[in-house]
Amino acid sequence: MSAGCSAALLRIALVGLLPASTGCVSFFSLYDHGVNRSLAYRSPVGIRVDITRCGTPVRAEELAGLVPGSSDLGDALAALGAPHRLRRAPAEEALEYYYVYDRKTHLLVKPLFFMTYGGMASYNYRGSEAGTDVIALVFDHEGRLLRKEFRSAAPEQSAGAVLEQVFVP
Amino acid sequence: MRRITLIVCAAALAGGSGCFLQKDRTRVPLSRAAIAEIKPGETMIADVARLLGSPNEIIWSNGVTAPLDAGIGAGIINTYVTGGEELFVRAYHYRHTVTKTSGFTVIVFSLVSHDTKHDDLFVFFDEAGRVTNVGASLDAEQASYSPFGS
Repeated sequence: MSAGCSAALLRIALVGLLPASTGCVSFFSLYDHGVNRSLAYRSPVGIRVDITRCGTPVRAEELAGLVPGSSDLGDALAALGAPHRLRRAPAEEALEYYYVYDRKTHLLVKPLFFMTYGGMASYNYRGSEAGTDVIALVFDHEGRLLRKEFRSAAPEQSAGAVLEQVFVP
Repeated sequence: MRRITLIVCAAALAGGSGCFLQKDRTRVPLSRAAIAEIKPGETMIADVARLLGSPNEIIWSNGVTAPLDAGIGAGIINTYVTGGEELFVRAYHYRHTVTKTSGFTVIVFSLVSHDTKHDDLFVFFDEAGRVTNVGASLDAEQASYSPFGS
């Protein structure tokens, strides 16, 4: 590595990497905990990816073996295990059982621009993909299966990217 | 100059990087042995409470769910009269939750993963408080720190 190249690299490191790293760490820690969100907004740059999963994938293939009118609660519990939620059907004398699997990926890109008049502008790019798989089973109070349903909210139906501006004087 | 450059770059990498692991749990894991002792048609509601303790929530015969309250429905009293209608405990719901969170930062890039899995157990009863059905999904130990996976 030549002396000129080293000098250039050092200059980049000093003016870019060190502030960037400290800014990212402050953003990373503060934004999450809500200690001082305005301070987090002042962090110069950052790219953050959040991946969230809740529950286990629902066993939709087991649903074919459950027949409304003939299957009962015991068949459903044997095929699908315990539901995650149970609630009273609002319009009829029945109970709804839900098996739910949620997943979400959230992206935040946070570049910073120094303005000529001395301020800073941060354009936050946010994007997310979310999907939910739900098996809903409806039983009467005797435990007979009345209806079954599988719903899958695909990622492409989720909210897209949002660009927002934050100006810090 | 070269040495200073290396030191500065190493300091930026070291100072701007980090990682963490976090594990959150609610209640205690459900015991497979205790669940195996629950026999439909034989086990009574008081035996379930003795084996597994208090449930997270009670589902009454009219479909209303409620958290455990003052012993009502806890295997001691399993009926309740409201509005002239006698209700009985239809089911107990037990839940143990494990959430594993991991994250790392390298200079400007951060990746955070949250994975939540549950042990769920529903025990259903008839009007006499006898177990009719048992449904268990014990998945809490499948929670992972990895950002990739299901």
